[in-house]
Amino acid sequence: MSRTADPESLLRYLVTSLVDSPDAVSIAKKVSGGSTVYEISVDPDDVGKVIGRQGRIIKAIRTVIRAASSVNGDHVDVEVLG
Amino acid sequence: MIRESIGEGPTVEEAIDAALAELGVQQDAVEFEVLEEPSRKILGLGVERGARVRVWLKDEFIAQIVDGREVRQQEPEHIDSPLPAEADSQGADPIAKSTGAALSEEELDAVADAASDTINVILESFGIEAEVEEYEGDEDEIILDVVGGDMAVLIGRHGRTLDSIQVLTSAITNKRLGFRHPVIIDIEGYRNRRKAKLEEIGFRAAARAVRQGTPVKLRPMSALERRVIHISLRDDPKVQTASEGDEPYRSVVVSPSRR
Repeated sequence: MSRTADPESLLRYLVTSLVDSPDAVSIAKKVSGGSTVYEISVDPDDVGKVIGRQGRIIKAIRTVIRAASSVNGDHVDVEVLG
Repeated sequence: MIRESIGEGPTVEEAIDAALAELGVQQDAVEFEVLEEPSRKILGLGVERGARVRVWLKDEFIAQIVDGREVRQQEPEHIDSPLPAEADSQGADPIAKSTGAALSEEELDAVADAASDTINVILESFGIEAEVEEYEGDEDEIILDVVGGDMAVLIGRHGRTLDSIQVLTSAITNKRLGFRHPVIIDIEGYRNRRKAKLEEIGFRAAARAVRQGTPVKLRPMSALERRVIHISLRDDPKVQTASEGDEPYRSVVVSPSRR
Protein backbone atom coordinates (compact mmCIF):
# COMPACT_ATOMS: atom_id res chain seq x y z
CA MET A 1 0.00 0.00 0.00
CA SER A 2 1.52 3.29 -0.98
CA ARG A 3 0.33 6.53 0.50
CA THR A 4 1.07 9.86 -1.04
CA ALA A 5 0.88 13.07 0.87
CA ASP A 6 0.58 16.53 -0.61
CA PRO A 7 2.52 18.85 1.71
CA GLU A 8 2.62 21.69 -0.79
CA SER A 9 -1.13 22.06 -1.13
CA LEU A 10 -1.48 21.64 2.65
CA LEU A 11 0.97 24.50 3.16
CA ARG A 12 -1.02 26.65 0.75
CA TYR A 13 -4.26 25.81 2.56
CA LEU A 14 -2.84 26.58 6.00
CA VAL A 15 -1.26 29.89 5.03
CA THR A 16 -4.20 31.19 2.99
CA SER A 17 -6.57 30.25 5.83
CA LEU A 18 -4.58 32.25 8.39
CA VAL A 19 -4.09 35.53 6.54
CA ASP A 20 -6.37 38.46 5.75
CA SER A 21 -5.16 38.68 2.13
CA PRO A 22 -5.10 35.13 0.72
CA ASP A 23 -4.59 36.48 -2.81
CA ALA A 24 -1.24 37.90 -1.78
CA VAL A 25 0.10 34.49 -0.70
CA SER A 26 2.75 32.90 -2.86
CA ILE A 27 4.78 29.79 -2.17
CA ALA A 28 8.03 29.04 -3.97
CA LYS A 29 9.61 25.59 -3.87
CA LYS A 30 13.42 25.74 -3.94
CA VAL A 31 15.27 22.50 -4.44
CA SER A 32 19.03 22.47 -4.05
CA GLY A 33 21.04 19.31 -3.61
CA GLY A 34 18.94 16.93 -1.55
CA SER A 35 17.00 19.57 0.36
CA THR A 36 13.73 21.29 -0.39
CA VAL A 37 12.69 24.65 1.05
CA TYR A 38 9.25 26.18 0.72
CA GLU A 39 9.48 29.96 0.79
CA ILE A 40 6.26 31.69 1.81
CA SER A 41 5.55 35.30 0.97
CA VAL A 42 2.49 37.12 2.23
CA ASP A 43 1.17 40.64 2.48
CA PRO A 44 3.41 42.59 4.89
CA ASP A 45 0.41 43.05 7.22
CA ASP A 46 -0.04 39.27 7.40
CA VAL A 47 3.53 38.30 8.33
CA GLY A 48 2.68 38.35 12.05
CA LYS A 49 -0.26 36.01 11.52
CA VAL A 50 1.87 33.41 9.78
CA ILE A 51 4.62 33.63 12.39
CA GLY A 52 2.42 33.94 15.48
CA ARG A 53 3.33 34.96 18.98
CA GLN A 54 6.84 33.76 19.76
CA GLY A 55 6.87 31.88 16.45
CA ARG A 56 4.11 29.56 17.60
CA ILE A 57 2.29 29.38 14.27
CA ILE A 58 5.31 29.04 11.98
CA LYS A 59 6.73 26.33 14.26
CA ALA A 60 3.46 24.42 14.01
CA ILE A 61 3.40 24.87 10.22
CA ARG A 62 6.97 23.54 9.96
CA THR A 63 6.23 20.53 12.15
CA VAL A 64 3.11 19.60 10.22
CA ILE A 65 4.63 20.13 6.75
CA ARG A 66 7.72 18.12 7.70
CA ALA A 67 5.52 15.30 8.98
CA ALA A 68 3.45 15.31 5.77
CA SER A 69 6.64 15.30 3.66
CA SER A 70 8.07 12.42 5.66
CA VAL A 71 5.15 10.27 4.48
CA ASN A 72 6.69 10.56 0.99
CA GLY A 73 10.19 10.09 2.37
CA ASP A 74 11.12 13.74 1.82
CA HIS A 75 12.87 16.28 4.04
CA VAL A 76 11.70 19.84 3.70
CA ASP A 77 11.99 23.19 5.42
CA VAL A 78 9.60 26.13 5.48
CA GLU A 79 10.68 29.77 5.59
CA VAL A 80 8.74 33.02 5.67
CA LEU A 81 10.19 35.79 3.53
CA GLY A 82 9.84 38.97 5.56
CA MET B 1 1.30 50.50 33.55
CA ILE B 2 -1.82 48.37 33.95
CA ARG B 3 -2.40 47.74 37.63
CA GLU B 4 -5.70 45.98 37.48
CA SER B 5 -7.55 43.63 35.20
CA ILE B 6 -10.87 41.85 35.03
CA GLY B 7 -10.46 38.20 34.05
CA GLU B 8 -13.11 35.81 32.81
CA GLY B 9 -13.01 32.06 32.44
CA PRO B 10 -14.95 28.88 33.05
CA THR B 11 -13.52 28.67 36.56
CA VAL B 12 -12.14 31.18 39.06
CA GLU B 13 -8.63 29.76 38.57
CA GLU B 14 -8.81 30.19 34.81
CA ALA B 15 -10.31 33.68 35.13
CA ILE B 16 -7.37 34.64 37.33
CA ASP B 17 -4.95 33.14 34.80
CA ALA B 18 -6.55 35.24 32.05
CA ALA B 19 -6.17 38.40 34.16
CA LEU B 20 -2.56 37.49 35.01
CA ALA B 21 -1.81 37.10 31.32
CA GLU B 22 -3.29 40.55 30.73
CA LEU B 23 -1.18 42.07 33.52
CA GLY B 24 1.90 40.09 32.52
CA VAL B 25 2.71 39.01 36.07
CA GLN B 26 2.64 35.87 38.20
CA GLN B 27 0.11 35.02 40.88
CA ASP B 28 2.39 36.03 43.77
CA ALA B 29 2.29 39.65 42.57
CA VAL B 30 -1.45 40.12 42.89
CA GLU B 31 -4.50 40.03 45.04
CA PHE B 32 -7.92 39.28 43.69
CA GLU B 33 -11.61 39.25 44.44
CA VAL B 34 -14.24 37.08 42.84
CA LEU B 35 -16.91 39.20 41.18
CA GLU B 36 -18.98 36.32 39.92
CA GLU B 37 -18.79 32.62 40.71
CA PRO B 38 -19.32 30.39 37.72
CA SER B 39 -22.86 29.07 37.50
CA ARG B 40 -23.63 25.66 36.17
CA LYS B 41 -26.47 24.69 33.90
CA ILE B 42 -29.61 23.88 35.83
CA LEU B 43 -31.23 20.73 34.47
CA GLY B 44 -29.44 21.36 31.20
CA LEU B 45 -31.34 24.60 30.73
CA GLY B 46 -30.45 28.20 31.08
CA VAL B 47 -27.26 30.08 30.49
CA GLU B 48 -23.97 28.77 31.73
CA ARG B 49 -21.95 31.69 33.02
CA GLY B 50 -18.25 31.75 33.68
CA ALA B 51 -16.35 33.25 36.57
CA ARG B 52 -15.33 36.92 36.71
CA VAL B 53 -12.54 38.14 38.93
CA ARG B 54 -10.89 41.47 39.59
CA VAL B 55 -7.12 41.11 39.91
CA TRP B 56 -4.83 43.91 41.00
CA LEU B 57 -1.12 44.31 41.63
CA LYS B 58 -0.01 44.34 45.25
CA ASP B 59 1.40 47.69 46.37
CA GLU B 60 4.79 46.19 47.17
CA PHE B 61 4.93 44.71 43.68
CA ILE B 62 4.21 48.10 42.09
CA ALA B 63 7.03 49.52 44.18
CA GLN B 64 9.33 46.80 42.86
CA ILE B 65 8.40 47.58 39.26
CA VAL B 66 9.04 51.27 39.84
CA ASP B 67 12.45 50.28 41.26
CA GLY B 68 13.05 48.48 37.99
CA ARG B 69 13.69 45.17 39.69
CA GLU B 70 10.78 43.44 38.02
CA VAL B 71 11.20 44.94 34.57
CA ARG B 72 12.57 41.71 33.18
CA GLN B 73 9.51 39.80 34.25
CA GLN B 74 7.29 42.30 32.46
CA GLU B 75 9.03 41.93 29.12
CA PRO B 76 7.89 38.53 27.88
CA GLU B 77 4.26 39.56 27.62
CA HIS B 78 5.26 42.66 25.69
CA ILE B 79 7.06 40.67 23.02
CA ASP B 80 3.56 40.38 21.60
CA SER B 81 3.30 44.00 20.67
CA PRO B 82 5.25 43.93 17.36
CA LEU B 83 2.63 41.46 16.12
CA PRO B 84 -0.63 43.16 17.03
CA ALA B 85 -2.77 41.66 14.30
CA GLU B 86 -2.04 38.12 15.42
CA ALA B 87 -3.95 38.31 18.67
CA ASP B 88 -7.28 37.91 16.96
CA SER B 89 -6.38 35.15 14.60
CA GLN B 90 -4.63 32.54 16.66
CA GLY B 91 -5.13 30.58 19.80
CA ALA B 92 -3.43 31.99 22.82
CA ASP B 93 -2.83 29.92 25.90
CA PRO B 94 -6.11 27.99 26.12
CA ILE B 95 -6.52 29.12 29.71
CA ALA B 96 -6.68 32.74 28.63
CA LYS B 97 -8.52 31.77 25.50
CA SER B 98 -11.77 30.50 26.94
CA THR B 99 -14.25 33.28 26.97
CA GLY B 100 -16.33 31.61 29.64
CA ALA B 101 -19.36 32.90 27.79
CA ALA B 102 -21.86 30.24 26.88
CA LEU B 103 -22.14 29.57 23.18
CA SER B 104 -25.42 28.63 21.60
CA GLU B 105 -25.83 25.18 20.03
CA GLU B 106 -25.55 26.84 16.61
CA GLU B 107 -22.28 28.49 17.55
CA LEU B 108 -20.87 25.24 18.93
CA ASP B 109 -21.90 23.51 15.71
CA ALA B 110 -20.18 26.22 13.70
CA VAL B 111 -16.98 25.69 15.70
CA ALA B 112 -17.19 21.92 15.19
CA ASP B 113 -17.87 22.31 11.44
CA ALA B 114 -15.02 24.75 10.86
CA ALA B 115 -12.58 22.63 12.86
CA SER B 116 -13.73 19.46 11.10
CA ASP B 117 -13.21 21.03 7.67
CA THR B 118 -9.66 21.93 8.61
CA ILE B 119 -8.78 18.55 10.12
CA ASN B 120 -10.20 16.79 7.05
CA VAL B 121 -8.02 18.85 4.71
CA ILE B 122 -5.01 18.00 6.86
CA LEU B 123 -5.81 14.27 6.87
CA GLU B 124 -6.32 14.27 3.10
CA SER B 125 -3.02 16.08 2.58
CA PHE B 126 -1.28 13.43 4.68
CA GLY B 127 -2.80 10.76 2.45
CA ILE B 128 -4.64 9.34 5.44
CA GLU B 129 -8.17 7.99 5.41
CA ALA B 130 -9.74 8.23 8.82
CA GLU B 131 -12.96 8.98 10.62
CA VAL B 132 -13.33 12.14 12.69
CA GLU B 133 -15.56 11.84 15.75
CA GLU B 134 -16.90 15.05 17.26
CA TYR B 135 -17.89 15.56 20.84
CA GLU B 136 -18.00 18.22 23.55
CA GLY B 137 -15.70 18.07 26.54
CA ASP B 138 -16.44 18.89 30.18
CA GLU B 139 -15.38 22.50 29.63
CA ASP B 140 -17.57 22.94 26.54
CA GLU B 141 -14.51 22.51 24.35
CA ILE B 142 -14.98 20.87 20.97
CA ILE B 143 -13.04 17.62 20.77
CA LEU B 144 -12.29 16.01 17.43
CA ASP B 145 -10.94 12.49 17.73
CA VAL B 146 -9.33 11.03 14.62
CA VAL B 147 -9.91 7.29 14.49
CA GLY B 148 -8.61 4.59 12.15
CA GLY B 149 -5.44 3.57 10.37
CA ASP B 150 -1.81 4.12 11.26
CA MET B 151 -1.79 7.33 13.25
CA ALA B 152 1.86 7.42 14.36
CA VAL B 153 2.72 10.02 11.71
CA LEU B 154 -0.04 12.34 12.96
CA ILE B 155 1.03 12.06 16.58
CA GLY B 156 4.79 12.48 16.02
CA ARG B 157 7.48 12.36 18.66
CA HIS B 158 6.12 13.30 22.12
CA GLY B 159 2.88 14.25 20.40
CA ARG B 160 4.48 17.26 18.76
CA THR B 161 2.83 16.83 15.37
CA LEU B 162 -0.55 16.40 17.05
CA ASP B 163 0.02 19.57 19.11
CA SER B 164 0.94 21.46 15.94
CA ILE B 165 -2.15 20.21 14.13
CA GLN B 166 -4.19 21.43 17.07
CA VAL B 167 -2.53 24.86 17.12
CA LEU B 168 -3.24 25.31 13.41
CA THR B 169 -6.77 23.94 13.51
CA SER B 170 -7.64 26.27 16.42
CA ALA B 171 -6.04 29.28 14.76
CA ILE B 172 -7.86 28.68 11.49
CA THR B 173 -11.18 27.98 13.24
CA ASN B 174 -10.89 31.14 15.35
CA LYS B 175 -9.95 33.16 12.30
CA ARG B 176 -12.88 31.85 10.30
CA LEU B 177 -15.48 32.37 13.03
CA GLY B 178 -14.18 35.63 14.46
CA PHE B 179 -14.40 34.36 18.04
CA ARG B 180 -12.38 32.00 20.13
CA HIS B 181 -13.46 28.69 21.48
CA PRO B 182 -11.22 25.83 22.59
CA VAL B 183 -10.77 23.09 20.02
CA ILE B 184 -8.97 19.89 20.99
CA ILE B 185 -7.66 17.47 18.38
CA ASP B 186 -7.06 13.94 19.56
CA ILE B 187 -5.82 10.82 17.81
CA GLU B 188 -7.51 7.64 18.97
CA GLY B 189 -7.69 8.90 22.52
CA TYR B 190 -3.93 9.59 22.67
CA ARG B 191 -4.53 12.75 24.69
CA ASN B 192 -6.72 10.90 27.16
CA ARG B 193 -3.92 8.45 27.87
CA ARG B 194 -1.43 11.31 28.19
CA LYS B 195 -3.92 13.26 30.30
CA ALA B 196 -4.10 10.41 32.80
CA LYS B 197 -0.31 10.49 33.09
CA LEU B 198 -0.28 14.26 33.64
CA GLU B 199 -2.99 14.06 36.30
CA GLU B 200 -0.89 11.45 38.08
CA ILE B 201 2.08 13.87 38.01
CA GLY B 202 -0.16 16.64 39.41
CA PHE B 203 -1.56 14.49 42.21
CA ARG B 204 1.91 13.34 43.24
CA ALA B 205 3.19 16.93 43.28
CA ALA B 206 0.18 18.00 45.40
CA ALA B 207 0.85 15.21 47.91
CA ARG B 208 4.50 16.25 48.12
CA ALA B 209 3.69 19.97 48.46
CA VAL B 210 1.32 19.23 51.35
CA ARG B 211 3.75 16.82 53.04
CA GLN B 212 6.74 19.18 52.76
CA GLY B 213 4.78 22.40 53.27
CA THR B 214 6.71 23.95 50.36
CA PRO B 215 5.88 24.70 46.73
CA VAL B 216 6.71 21.99 44.19
CA LYS B 217 7.73 23.08 40.71
CA LEU B 218 6.99 20.70 37.86
CA ARG B 219 8.98 20.24 34.66
CA PRO B 220 8.32 22.80 31.90
CA MET B 221 5.13 21.98 30.06
CA SER B 222 3.13 23.20 27.11
CA ALA B 223 0.05 25.35 27.78
CA LEU B 224 -2.16 22.32 27.12
CA GLU B 225 -0.29 20.15 29.58
CA ARG B 226 -0.36 22.91 32.23
CA ARG B 227 -4.08 23.28 31.75
CA VAL B 228 -4.58 19.59 32.54
CA ILE B 229 -2.64 20.01 35.81
CA HIS B 230 -4.50 23.22 36.83
CA ILE B 231 -7.86 21.59 36.19
CA SER B 232 -7.00 18.32 37.92
CA LEU B 233 -6.02 20.15 41.13
CA ARG B 234 -8.53 23.00 41.21
CA ASP B 235 -10.93 21.10 43.46
CA ASP B 236 -8.21 20.19 45.94
CA PRO B 237 -8.49 22.74 48.80
CA LYS B 238 -5.10 21.71 50.19
CA VAL B 239 -3.12 23.12 47.26
CA GLN B 240 -3.03 26.03 44.84
CA THR B 241 -1.52 25.99 41.37
CA ALA B 242 0.04 28.73 39.26
CA SER B 243 2.11 28.88 36.09
CA GLU B 244 5.53 30.48 36.32
CA GLY B 245 8.39 31.29 33.98
CA ASP B 246 8.59 32.10 30.29
CA GLU B 247 7.73 29.87 27.35
CA PRO B 248 8.98 27.37 26.45
CA TYR B 249 10.14 26.77 30.03
CA ARG B 250 6.89 27.83 31.70
CA SER B 251 5.91 25.35 34.37
CA VAL B 252 3.26 24.72 36.98
CA VAL B 253 4.05 25.35 40.63
CA VAL B 254 1.91 23.46 43.14
CA SER B 255 1.86 25.19 46.55
CA PRO B 256 0.24 24.22 49.82
CA SER B 257 -2.78 26.44 50.54
CA ARG B 258 -2.18 29.21 53.04
CA ARG B 259 -5.38 28.46 54.86
